[in-house]
Parts: sequence; structure tokens; C-alpha cells
Amino acid sequence: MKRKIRAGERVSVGFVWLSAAFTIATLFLILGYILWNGFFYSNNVEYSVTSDATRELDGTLVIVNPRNPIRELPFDALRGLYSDEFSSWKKPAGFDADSYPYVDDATSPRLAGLLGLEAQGELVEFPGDAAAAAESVAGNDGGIAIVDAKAFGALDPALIERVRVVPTRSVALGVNPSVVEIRDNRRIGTVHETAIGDLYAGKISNWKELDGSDLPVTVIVPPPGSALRSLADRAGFDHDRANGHANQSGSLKFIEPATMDEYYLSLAGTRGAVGLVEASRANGIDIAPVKLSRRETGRNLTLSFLLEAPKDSGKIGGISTIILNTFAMILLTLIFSIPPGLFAAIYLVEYAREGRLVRLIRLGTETLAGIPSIIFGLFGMLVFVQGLGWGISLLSGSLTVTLMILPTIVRTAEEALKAVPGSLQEGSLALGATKVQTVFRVVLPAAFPAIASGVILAIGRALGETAALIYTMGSNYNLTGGLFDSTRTLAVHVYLIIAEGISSDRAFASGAVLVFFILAINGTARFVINRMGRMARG
Amino acid sequence: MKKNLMLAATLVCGCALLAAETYTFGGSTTVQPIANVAIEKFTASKPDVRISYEGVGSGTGLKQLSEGTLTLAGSSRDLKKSELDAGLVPVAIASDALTVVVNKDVRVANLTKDQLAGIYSGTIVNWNEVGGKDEKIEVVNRDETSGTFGAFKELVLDPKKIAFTKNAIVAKENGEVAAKVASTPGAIGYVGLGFVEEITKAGGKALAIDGVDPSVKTTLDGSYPLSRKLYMVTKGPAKAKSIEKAFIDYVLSARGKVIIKEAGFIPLK
Amino acid sequence: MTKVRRFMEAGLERTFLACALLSIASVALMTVFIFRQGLPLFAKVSLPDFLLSTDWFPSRDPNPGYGILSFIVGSVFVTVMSLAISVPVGISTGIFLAEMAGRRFGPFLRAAVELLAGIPSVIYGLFGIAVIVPLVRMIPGGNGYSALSSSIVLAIMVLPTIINMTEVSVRSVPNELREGSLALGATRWQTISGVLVPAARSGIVTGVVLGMGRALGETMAVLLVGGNAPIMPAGPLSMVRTLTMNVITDMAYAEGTHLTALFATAIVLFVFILALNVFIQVALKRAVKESTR
Repeated sequence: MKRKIRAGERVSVGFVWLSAAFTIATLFLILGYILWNGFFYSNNVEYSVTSDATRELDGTLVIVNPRNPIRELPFDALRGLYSDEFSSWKKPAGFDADSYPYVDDATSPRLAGLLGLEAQGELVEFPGDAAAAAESVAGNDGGIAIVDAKAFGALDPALIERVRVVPTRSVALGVNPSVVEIRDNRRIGTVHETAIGDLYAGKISNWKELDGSDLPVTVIVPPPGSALRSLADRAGFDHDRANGHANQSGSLKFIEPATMDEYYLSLAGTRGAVGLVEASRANGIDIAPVKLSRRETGRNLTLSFLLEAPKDSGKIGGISTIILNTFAMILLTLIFSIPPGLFAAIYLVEYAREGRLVRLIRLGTETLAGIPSIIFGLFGMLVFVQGLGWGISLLSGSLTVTLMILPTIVRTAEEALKAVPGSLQEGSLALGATKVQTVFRVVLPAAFPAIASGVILAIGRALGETAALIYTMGSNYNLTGGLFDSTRTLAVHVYLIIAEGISSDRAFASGAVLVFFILAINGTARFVINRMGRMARG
Repeated sequence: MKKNLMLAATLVCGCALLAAETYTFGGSTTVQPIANVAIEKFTASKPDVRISYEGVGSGTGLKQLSEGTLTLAGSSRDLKKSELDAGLVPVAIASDALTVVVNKDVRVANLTKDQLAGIYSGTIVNWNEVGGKDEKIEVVNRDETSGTFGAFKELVLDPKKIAFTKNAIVAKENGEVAAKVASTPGAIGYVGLGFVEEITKAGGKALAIDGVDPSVKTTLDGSYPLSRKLYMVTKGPAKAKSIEKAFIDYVLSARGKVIIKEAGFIPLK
Repeated sequence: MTKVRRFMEAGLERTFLACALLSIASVALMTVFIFRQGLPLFAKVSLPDFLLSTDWFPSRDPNPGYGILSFIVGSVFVTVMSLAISVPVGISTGIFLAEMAGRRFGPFLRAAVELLAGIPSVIYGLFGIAVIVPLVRMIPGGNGYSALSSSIVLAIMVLPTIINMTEVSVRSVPNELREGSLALGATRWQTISGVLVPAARSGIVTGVVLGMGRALGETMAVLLVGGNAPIMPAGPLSMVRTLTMNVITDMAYAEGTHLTALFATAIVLFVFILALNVFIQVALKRAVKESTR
């Protein structure tokens, strides 16, 4: 009998310990995941070019303004900037500045050939020589210039300091157009960059292994001595091993032309052909580029995210206005909820007698606490937005949230007031103070820390409110212009970023900021309670 | 006493800020990216004008326009007769190709309009029925107020007089479709051309319909079967010198055309 | 006291009373408004057609359907599954905090529970989409957006409520019961399971019911991971739409009878939660009566 009991007990006790551990583990998992992804991102990003970046582009250099955040310029972005495809840096670099493409006189004759364009865009300007181009770029946030490399190197070092040379990624994985056609309802999509190595090593013999159509692979190898050949060698091309693979598979072929012209001709003319090419040559007509993906990691939440205003639905910029909006909402909510909540608690503690009325009031408060937020949202929409005609606004939303946190304030204020020793009150009354004077001058100050911590926790609830605010406070992400403006708060912003599929990085970054606020609030509340505890003891 | 003073002060401030002209536009979430950028640039030179665009969907936007809650609505579908009768006047601002997108693990590259109708009405439920692998088709649909929903219904389902399947993930805006399609294996959805980039960034891909790829070229020459126009709508023709008229003119201007292009849509010639 | 003083005192007392009545007034107003907006539905749709039909098709012309059974089942299904996870874990952790936690681990765990309670529902939704949905997709299967994912997320959200109430109730069991049991030779665990928990059961049940209410009323987290397909959930891996999700999805654009139907849905939700609340009040009263016996 004893052994059975002990075994059963062990299991139960074990389960209890496990539950406690599970609870803590869950908390750390959730907070940790959000904060980690808030601070660091890791995405699969797709490009038309490989990762190989070169400082010089066929004897020219690309320079940008130092405020431009771009680190490496993919070739199609460069081409887009010079062909009127982009008029601002938003798409290529997430940088909100109109683009001003310049070319120096030395390079302008061969601009079209350099970028594989039929004609240059109308936005392109010609300031003069390399120095003039550099000046233009230095003086314009969105400036970019293609200048002759030698001429640039010879410029005054002070001028060179005022611009930044951006390496370009101008090597693409080019294929014969047959590879990217739809055949049998299949078409090759994005290929991971590691496939380049696999192709050159002879590990892939048919395009269907890369999700393409059933077409044998023919690898065209750049002629020895060329820049592309060294890239191919680095990617894993080995002449003997390649021949070995080709002989084994039967359908896989390696072709090694002797000159660059033959190289491009082979690519354009052989079905299933693939090889690294200059991006300017992959024009889609005789040679098509294959989209490549690679994993990029980096810092996500940065100080500038907190200080910049959001633009373009939140796709670009930061969340500064949204944080300020959230403060405005909280301030307004506190103004509306503290007086009624406090006064209600004062009544319940100081004046009321236990009777039907008090029980009714308590029932009302408890019920209010349990009503789902969506119902508050409906009520707010009916009464504040439509009924009183205030529209979707800061005012309507704040009043809705006020109703939601009222019970919390009443409850904690009540507890706080009850905890004030009766002796303090009796002493005050004995000295001749009126009831009201006692309440305001003696009881409230004594209960202040506990009330404060309750208010702080109520703020936490208001911070996280989303469902009730979407249709009462709105989604305008600019700085709120007044009580009657549609306003977006942080929690609503996190929801909208997820719902609008804008960027999971931004969702986590904004979420991390929200979590920080919650942590700060919790910490402050505990600090206040601890101080109060110490004060009471001391 | 102090709290009352603060309340009064806030109200006064609020009323003072009311002196700035506030305009509320809203409607289609497809038009929203165009509207947001256009509003930013348009109001840059008008400091005391504040415009907001609420992405509530074409249907709701048009309804709120006729009620007066909005003064300009974006619509991604043609107006119904009842809406035209109510005095709403649409102005076409761009063309769009309704693009069918799928999750990256779907091996199909093309669908016929019939197959598309079959998938969205629930008669085709597995990718192997249309040439893909054995995988359940996860249909992502828009909510009913969406203009994109209306346009898709008109172009694909109405001609065959069939209805949408109810067994679909309902997304409330283009971006949500993009997110759900990109992250759900076997998923299929439809979005405006401007949202395709988001999907491909997340690993999804666009399908050809009846053998034609959705693009600027195929929309303009009409070879892509699922194209539609995007509109900005006012109640009654936009009054001369009103902000709404100025805004519509701005969107139709050369600068507006650049904004439309950058959003991924197709400016009218 | 001067007359002015007395006047002010009385005036302030009335102000305090008015503020106290604010909570009842709000609840009353809310009930009135929501019922007023929602009841007209039943002039057009009969109660059985509304509550017992799965045909939700408000935009069908000419015969729109307003049956919310799928959503009622969805809400109940998701809530019950979430309680299945959170009740055992929650009660256990509550017991742990009340009786077994050490002096250092106890406050740490309590702080963790408080923190869990303060995390906003969007963050739970974000975590759900990023972690739980892919996990469910991988292990059990399906597309991840499911009743199971919703239940897991809800379970975590409801956990603090159950833990808190359990801890408070077990703690408030009078010491005599504890000491008496130990004196009779029972082990620590036997005391807990045989004496304390049964004594605290009203409070624990109250906690569970409170958790149930919270789960039923949750909107954002389930909206992001439930799939939102207006179908009757066939199993845990099926996509689901709860009553709350239905209201928030259609709220922005519904008009006419459709809007009335949404308010009627809100009424159903409201009535559910109110019933739960009344139950809690009754249970609490009984708890007080029992412990003072």
C-alpha cells in the first residue's frame, strides 16, 4: 500500500514540478523569440545576380551619397535607376529619397552598353567630368553617379571623402531561354545560390532537379583567363571532374569555348545551357537570368527605427509617430479613467454600507471586467463613433479603452484604500477634519503607491488593446493631429503589419518594442510596490 | 480641479487643431499603396491639409462614400449599377493585372481559366488534378467587401455562374493574402500586380493564366485574361477647386504615373 | 461645519456615488445598445435558424443565410481544447506556488506568471503565426491554421488566470486543516490532494470559469492563427472561425441585416459570458459560505 501511494505521489508531484517548469519555459520562449527576432533578422532574399561584388564595373565606379544606406548595388537596381524604372530609392534601398542619376562625360557614350539598356532614362543628368559628377552626388541625398574609375581616383581626396563608392553585383546566372519556358506546366523559379556550385561541379544533370522542366543541363564554361572563369573555378569547376561527371551521366555536358564571343553564342544557342554571365548580357532575349536566393542576416530593431516616422503604410521608415500616438492614447485614457475609477473606489470604501446597492455596484464592475474586448469595440463604434458623431478618432478610442480599464482601477484603488489603517482616518476626523478632507489629505496619499501600481498595470492593459481600437481609433500612422483624428497605436500597428503582410521583420521589431513597454510597465509597478513595502516597514 | 483643467485644455487644443483641414479618403486596399504615397507627396506642399486613407475595402469604401463618411473612395472593381445610380462617379487611374499566386512548393506554372474556376469553387481540390504533385490545394480568398474579390468573381466565377467555395482561408487585404500564400504550402491566392513582389520576396510565385504571364505588356495589350481597372470615386463629379479634384488630377499627372508605376501597377496611357 | 462646507461634502459624496454607479450604467448601456441593435434580426430570422443552422451566407441574393452554429461550435471547441491543456497545468502550477515553491523560486515564478498575463494578444498572435502554426503544420499536419493552433495559444493566455486563482484559493485554506491533516499522519502530497484542493475547489472552479470566459472572448490571437474559414470545424486540424472572429471580420463592411446579425452574434457571446459571470458570483458566494461554516 505504501509503495503504491509513493509511486502515485511521485508522479503527481513530478507533474506539478513539470507544470511549473513549463510555465516559466513558455514565458521565456515567447518573450525570447519575439525579442530575438525583433533584434536580428534572417531572411531568404531573392536577387537576379550572384553575391559576387566588384568595386569596379568595367572601368567605372558607382558612387552614392554617404547618407544612402545601400551597401552593395545589385545590377538590376543600377539599371533600373538609369532607365526610369525607379524614381526614388525606396524600392532599391528602403531609403526615402528621390533618385538623381548622373553620368560623367567619359562614361556617358558607353552607358547603354554598360548597363545593357536600349536607351537611357530621361532622369539621367550629365554634370560634366568626374569631379562635377562627384559634387552633384555629394550635394544630393539621392544622388548616384557612374564615373570613370581612373578619373575618380585622381580627384581631390576631400571630394572623394564626400561620396561613397558602392560595389556592384553584376554577375548573373545566365541560361538559355529554353530553361525558363513553361513546359508541361512547370517552370523554374528561384534557385538557391548554392546551386551554382552544384552546377559547376557537375552534380546537377537535368533542370528538373531544380524544379524546372525536364531538360538536360549543359554547362558552358568561360574561357580560361577571363574574370568569369575565375568565378567558375571558385564555384567548384574542375575540368577533369567535370568530364568524369559528363561521361557518367550521358545527358550532362560541359562545353569549354575558347573565346568570350563563342561563350555567349553557346549560351544563347544551346538548349539547356547555363553559365555565369555579365548581368548586362542577361537581357531575357538571348540569355535569361535565373533568380537566385541567399540567406541574409543582420540587425533588425535599430535606434533609427524608433526615431523615424513611418512612410508608405509602414513599409519604410520607423515607428516614431506611432509610439507618440500610443502615449497620447494612454494619457487621454488615464485622464478619463482615473477620476471616475478613484471616486468610485472612494465611495465603495468610505461611504457605502454593505447592502444591495453595493453588491449591485460590485456586480457591475466584475461584469464589466469580463466583457470581451470586441464587444467594447462594437459599443464604442455604435455610441462614440456613430452615435455621438465623433468618428473614428483618438477620442472615441480612448473612451472605449477607458471603459475597459475602469474595473481594474476601481478594484485596485479599492484594495489600496481598504489597506490604509483605520487609525489614520480616525485620527484625522478626531482632529476635526471633514470626511472629504480626510479622504483627500490623509487616505489618498497613504494609498498612493498601491493606487499608482494599479494604474500602471491598467496602462499595460490599454497598451495591448487591439480589437477594440481598430474600428474606434483608426489606422492612420501619422502623428495624431488632435482628438478627432484617426490614430494608430503600437499594438494596432503590430496587428496591421502582420495582417497586411508587410514584413515579418517589422512585425517582430514593432512587437519587440511593445514587449519592452510591457516589461517596463511591469517592472515599474513592482518597483512601486516594493518601495511601498519598504516604506511601510521602515 | 487640476484634472478638469487638463481635460478642458486638451479639448481646446483638439478644437484648435480642427482648424487644419482634415479629409478622410478610403476604400480598396489595392489602391491603398498608390493613395498613401500620393497623399504623402500631394500634402508635402500643403502643410495645413491632412488626408488619411482607410483601407476598408472597395465595397465599404463606396458605401461610406455615399453616406458621406468619406469624400473620396478607391475601388478595385467596376461600380455596380446601384452605386452608379446613387450618384457615384468613378475615374479610372490605373490598370491592374489580377495575378494568381501560389506557394513556392506548388509545381504548377500555368492554369487555364476553367481550372482556376474549378479550384475556387471547390470542384478541384488537389494539385495533382492540374498537373502538380499530390498536395491539397489551400484556397486563400478575400473577404466580400474587397474589390479584388468582386473583380475576381466577375472575371472567373460569374461567367460560369458558380460560387466561391466556403472552405477557404479568408484574408482581409492584399497583404494578408500575400502573407498567407507565401507561408502555407499548397496555397493559392489572387492579388493585384503591385503585391506580387511581396509574394516573390517571401518565396511564392505568380502563375500564367491560359499561357499568358501577367505583366505590364500583357495587360496593356489585353492578352492577359484577368485585367481590371483601378478607380478613384467621388460622390457626384469632383467639384472644381476641391481637394478631391486636385488629388485625382495629381494621381493622373506625370508624377502620379510614376507613383503608380513604382507601386507596381500600370498607369493609363 | 459651515453650510457651504456641508453642501460641498454632500455634493462630493454624490459625485463619488455617481462614479461608482458608472460601472453599472456602462454595463446597462452596453446591454441595452447591443440588444437593441441585435434583436431586430429575429423579426427576419427565427431563433433556431440563427442558432442551429450552419448556413452563414449574408451576401447571397435572394436568400441570405445567417446561421451561426459553425461559429458557436468553433468557439466552444477551441475553448474546451484550450482548457484541456491549461487546467491541469494551471492548477498544478497554482498548487506549486501555494504549497511547494521555495523562497527564491516562488517569487520568480509568480513574476513570470504576472508577466505572461500582461502580454498583449497581438504578441501571442505573432508568436502563434511564427512558431505554433508551422509546428502544427509539421507534426500533426494540415495547413497549420487550425483549431489546435488556436487552442494552444489560448491555453497559454488563460494559464495565468487559472494559476492565480488556484494559488489564492489554496493559500486561503485555513491552516488548521493543513496542520490537522499532517497531524493525522498524511504526507505533504496527500494533504494537498486530499484536503487542500477539495477545500479550495470553489475558488479553483471560479478560476477555470474565469479562464473559460477569457478564452471565449479572445479575438486577436485566434484571428491570426485560426484560419477564419466560415466552416464547421471537423476536427482539431480543421480551420475554425469563432464568434468573436466572425464579428471582427465582417464588422467593417456589414450593413443592414448583415450588421444586425453581427450584433445578434454579439448578443450570443454576451449572454454566454454573462451566464459565466453569474455562475462565478454564485460559486464565490458558496465558497464564502463553505469556508465560514
